[in-house]
Amino acid sequence: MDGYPADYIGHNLPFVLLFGIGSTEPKPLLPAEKGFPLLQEKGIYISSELPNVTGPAADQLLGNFHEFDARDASWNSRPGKGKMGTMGFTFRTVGRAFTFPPRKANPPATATVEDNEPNSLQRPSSGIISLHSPLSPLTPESPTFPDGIMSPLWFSKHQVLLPSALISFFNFTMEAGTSTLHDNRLKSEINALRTSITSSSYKLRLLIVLVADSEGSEMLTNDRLANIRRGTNLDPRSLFLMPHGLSTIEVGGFVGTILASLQSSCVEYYRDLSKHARRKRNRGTTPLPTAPPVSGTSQTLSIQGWTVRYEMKLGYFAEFRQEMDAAGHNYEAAYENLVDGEVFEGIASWSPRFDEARMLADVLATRILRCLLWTGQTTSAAQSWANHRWRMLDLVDRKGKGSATYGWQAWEARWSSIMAELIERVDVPIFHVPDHPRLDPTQFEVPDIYAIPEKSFAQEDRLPPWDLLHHEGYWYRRSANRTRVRRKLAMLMPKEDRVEPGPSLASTVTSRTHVYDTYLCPEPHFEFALGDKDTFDHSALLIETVGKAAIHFSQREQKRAVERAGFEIAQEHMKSGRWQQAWTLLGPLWRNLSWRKTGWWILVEEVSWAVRACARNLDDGETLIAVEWELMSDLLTTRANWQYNFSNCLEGLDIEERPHAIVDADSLAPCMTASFTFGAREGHVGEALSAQLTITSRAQPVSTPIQLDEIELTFDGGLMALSLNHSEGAEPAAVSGDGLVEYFETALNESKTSTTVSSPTTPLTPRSVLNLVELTFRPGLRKVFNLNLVPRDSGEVRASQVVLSIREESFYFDIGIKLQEIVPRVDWWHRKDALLSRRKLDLDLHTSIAILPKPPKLQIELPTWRRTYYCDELVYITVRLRNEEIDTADIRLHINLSGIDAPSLSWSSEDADVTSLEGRSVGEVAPRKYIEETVSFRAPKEMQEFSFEIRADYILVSDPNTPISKAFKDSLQIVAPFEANYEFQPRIHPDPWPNYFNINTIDKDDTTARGLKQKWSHTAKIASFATEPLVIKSVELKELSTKNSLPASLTTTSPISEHGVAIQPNDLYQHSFDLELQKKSLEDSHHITLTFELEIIWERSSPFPSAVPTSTTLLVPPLTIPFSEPRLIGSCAYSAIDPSIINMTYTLENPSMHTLTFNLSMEASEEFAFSGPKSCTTQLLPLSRKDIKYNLLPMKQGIWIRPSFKCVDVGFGRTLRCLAGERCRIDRQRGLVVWAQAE
Amino acid sequence: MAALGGPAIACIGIIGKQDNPLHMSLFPPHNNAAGAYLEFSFLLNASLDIFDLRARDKNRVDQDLGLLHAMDERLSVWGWETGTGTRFAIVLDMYGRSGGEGEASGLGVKEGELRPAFRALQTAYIGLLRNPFYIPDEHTVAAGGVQIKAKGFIKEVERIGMAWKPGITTL
Repeated sequence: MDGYPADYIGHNLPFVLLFGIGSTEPKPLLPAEKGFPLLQEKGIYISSELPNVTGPAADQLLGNFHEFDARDASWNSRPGKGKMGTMGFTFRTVGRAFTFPPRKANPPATATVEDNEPNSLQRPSSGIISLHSPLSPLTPESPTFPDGIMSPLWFSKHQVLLPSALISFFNFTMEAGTSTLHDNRLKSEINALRTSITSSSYKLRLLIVLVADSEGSEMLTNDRLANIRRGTNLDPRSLFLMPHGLSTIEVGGFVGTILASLQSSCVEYYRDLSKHARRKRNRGTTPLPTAPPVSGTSQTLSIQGWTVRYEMKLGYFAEFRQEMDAAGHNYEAAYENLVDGEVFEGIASWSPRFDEARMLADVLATRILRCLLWTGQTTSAAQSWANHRWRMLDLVDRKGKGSATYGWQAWEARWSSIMAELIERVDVPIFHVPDHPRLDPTQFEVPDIYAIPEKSFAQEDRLPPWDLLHHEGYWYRRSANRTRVRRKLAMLMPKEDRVEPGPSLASTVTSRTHVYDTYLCPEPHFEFALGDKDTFDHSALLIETVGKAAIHFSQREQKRAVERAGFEIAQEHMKSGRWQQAWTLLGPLWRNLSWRKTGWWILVEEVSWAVRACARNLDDGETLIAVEWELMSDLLTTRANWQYNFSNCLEGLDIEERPHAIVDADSLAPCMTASFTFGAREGHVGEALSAQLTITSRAQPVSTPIQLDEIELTFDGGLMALSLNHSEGAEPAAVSGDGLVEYFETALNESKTSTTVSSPTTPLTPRSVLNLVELTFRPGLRKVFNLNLVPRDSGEVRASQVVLSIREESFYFDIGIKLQEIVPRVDWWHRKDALLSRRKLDLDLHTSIAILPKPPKLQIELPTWRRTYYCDELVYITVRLRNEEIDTADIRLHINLSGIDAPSLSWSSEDADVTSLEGRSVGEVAPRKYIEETVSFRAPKEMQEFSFEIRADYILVSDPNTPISKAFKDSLQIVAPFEANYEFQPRIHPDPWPNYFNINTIDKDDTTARGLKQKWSHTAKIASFATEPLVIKSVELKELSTKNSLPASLTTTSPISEHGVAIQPNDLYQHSFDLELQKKSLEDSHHITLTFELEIIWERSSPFPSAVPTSTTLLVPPLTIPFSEPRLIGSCAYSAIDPSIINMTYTLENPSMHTLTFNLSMEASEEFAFSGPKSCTTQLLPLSRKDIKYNLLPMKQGIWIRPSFKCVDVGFGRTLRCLAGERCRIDRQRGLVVWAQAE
Repeated sequence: MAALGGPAIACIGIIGKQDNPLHMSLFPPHNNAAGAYLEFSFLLNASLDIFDLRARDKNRVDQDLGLLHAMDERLSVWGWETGTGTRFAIVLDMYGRSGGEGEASGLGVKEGELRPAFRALQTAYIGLLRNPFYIPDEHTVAAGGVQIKAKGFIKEVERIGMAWKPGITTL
């Protein structure tokens, strides 16, 4: 807004004149007063002879008034600086004399001449000259005469010359003696002042403030004040007394009271002026000028012009009253009349009035914008802004010099800046930035970039994006862009236009004015002067505008936009040759460029080339080396016809010392990359680790090869740094087919420890040095170094950094490449003779590796180890300790079996000492020899699981201080080897039963058992649960107890040979016994109860050390045998003549002492035919048995058939269950079944 | 009228998770203008500021970020952020394909009017990710920040850029 007179464009606040206070020194005249002397010469002069009110009290009072001065306050209705709850004022302090501008201009001195003017307007016949304001287009002396619309002076008049109120200050003495005299003097001064103001016919308000010089009686003072009021005819609200000795706050309150009483009258004052202007506008006629125009055109201001003028005034006065809505409407009306109507059309483009009207249009547009922004209509403001731009563009293209001039671009730039400044000044709430910095950005709401449209716009309106008001930064940037175009256009001007015109070149000047638009911008010869003449500094304007934009971008955390602005400013400095300033900006920017971190290489290269230019001009060798390295990167665009040769990068530079650039690769685009990976995730101290270091050149394809002198690889942790030195002519071990990969192998024995310092920067650290490598890199070449590294300490080791060093004659260069923790997609290279192959490594292989302590080389072997042992077994475990160390080992052995109820271990060697199991010294073992120890324990009866641990602590005789430990641990299962099922079947005892009718009398002494005998068959089905073949040596049934019977006589029916029976895992083995039972007496009718256990003696079939047969005992469920019940036993035999015929015998026994009757029947069946009694009744005597025989002929062979023989005890009405005798069996569902065997 | 003078897409940018440029297509009249590639790179890069600011809004669920900012009365940048953090930016030219200020229709753009274009871009991008020959890791900054070279994808982006016009509902 600097291009416009400040009063023309600024916001208006009620103007109050402070009269007769402060220093008595005469104040310099304001520009408005100097600019137009007419306003002074004929002005209404007011003065007073009383002295100025001075002193501390006056200064304090004045200071308090100025606190209400809202000239610098933001342009909105919110309370702020200078407003203090009022509408805000502007003050002007003057001494005891002031001149108001004259109401009317002088009558023309040459009035008589005008009568002869042939083209003059008709004068009123009365001959009375109508006089007008000195600034009116009707007054010949006015700058607007005869056809100007508005002069900025008119605006100044109301802002600095013509107050809405005048506050006059007088001293008020409290001295009793002189008070009357003083009061009379005061009265006459006030009256004189009133008279001169009244005579001016300005309706401004007069206020009198009396400043008491000391304290006095209140009553007396009030009397005096009343007296003065009466004598001067002042109303009580116009006369104030400031008592003596008020505090600062009290003075503030006093001033506040005065201004509060003033506010309404000020508003009234400006309303009156509005009324006056409105009256004149509504008159609708052109007023007559004082004198008709005599020079130039005879044209006078048209009626539209007058409407513009009046509307403008209306808006202007409304703005004084802070009625921004109303002001906006008036300004808009003025603007429409000016631009749309015939006003502009009527002005010739060569006329100075054209530029005046343009300025008026700009001012009106600006004032409209202010009103819109004031009332929060952001989108309307943006549209209004664009509207004015369009109108002006159209006007300039149509009537002016076109929009292809630097002048138009200058206006565009200014118009953008004005918007930015307005937004700043209005402090649009949505763009308000808090004064304090955002401590934690996440805790504050997101700053707004643009304002959403106000409510008057519907959401579905198609708004151009620029209509959403953006913050100031965007407007400043737009302005800067236009300035850039302006400069470009200025540079395109032909040379002859850029010469400063001499007085003789008047015609040239004229021709130029037809081409160049110089509205608010310099003439061509100053815009872009030829040679080193004084010229307009576009750069400075750009730097200023871009700088302002950057401030606003940074307030909204638009860091990339700020970076760009910084870069643009630096570019401007470079254009002007201010290299140092450019570097100050570029240096930090270039080093921390976010564009580089995020891979915007096209932007990076812009900066890099700029940095290069700076470094060259500032002879900054170190920077130049670094930036040349960056420019070598193939990520940046190859510059055509550019010699990419890194070793010559300092050529032509004027430096004395050899520069040494040390840079961090992260701060540059990569020209060479490095990756490193270990071949495994774990390693051991003292054992070689394989690793690969890969250095790849990413230099520009057209560049000269880069020769490194040294590559240094450093580690965090227990690995020595490694240095690869260039060795001319060293051949790679293999080269890939396309020649882009060279593979070097560096064996461990080639390295040697060195403490020489090859780089001046690295401290004296021991390092391995490898010499047999060639370090010249063509563009795109990749060198793979296969390394064998030997760690000295355990712990985590990480490859941290690779430093590439170049030692040229003219410079030193070290670039440190930090190795990434996790390397994405690494290749691992293999060489087979001269062929190279690669494979992708697992993604989780890194640059770090865990180094474990030296591994124990003592081997623990268990030659007899089985994970499964059996219950009751005596277990022997042999431990073999094999020494694979290079030295004799002294070993202590710890063996432990842990678990619930773990059996104790014992050494099986001769000097077995059970108690010293823990830590048994086994003595020294020579290298490659071994020693064996055997432990044994008895496995428990139940199944269990134990943990078996062996630990061998040993030291090497050569290094007794380093204890080494080797451990072994496994779980050990104890399982049962066998389980058994049992079958118990009756048999027919061959012995005859005693005759019931012939029982021997019982002799008391006779202990011979006379009871009945029974025979039973007992079969054990033994299943092997072992995991290996076992040998059963013997199976014994052991009678534990017998009740109600003589001990059973047991005979095995399946004897086992001396070698035993082998039983495979999961196999079954049947072992049968015959049992004979006899009761002691016939009368004993109790059940017999038998309890047995089965003892299996077995051994492992495989050779086993000191194999001892193991006895495993299985409990047999107790057997109960009823002895006095009748029973039916079915047994069968196959006919000797025809084996398919079954001889079925049912034996019916009656062991009781009663005769029993049975009904017997055999049912017919489809399975067989039979011969024998179909049904019969039989009687059994006591102690008798009977066989009923059938011959069965099965209809089918090879199946189990069921003869359904039924035997019912008639006496008890009970069916006897048939028991299975020989060759029969009981089917659970079908009852007794017999096998129909095939022939 | 709208086809010539209405707003048209000037540039489409695909920006990766690490803020790295993955692809940029320019459209007439910018595609042959000198320095346009650099200028639009600056423009897209500066738009990342706004993407970042918008990302702070934890309550945001919509992928369509709408208008990010306008540079001047001609160019404006619109944004879209996928669930995986890939960002699409479309630069609109209010002067349309002809490029002259006089040709501008004065027509604005409604909120969400670019959605079909963004959707089509997302579909194309998903298609690209499903292409077994496209390895996203090769395009990270650490790997050198290589731009997308898949021809099918680029062609589709170009089709979207040319086909979009205000009021279109599917692309």
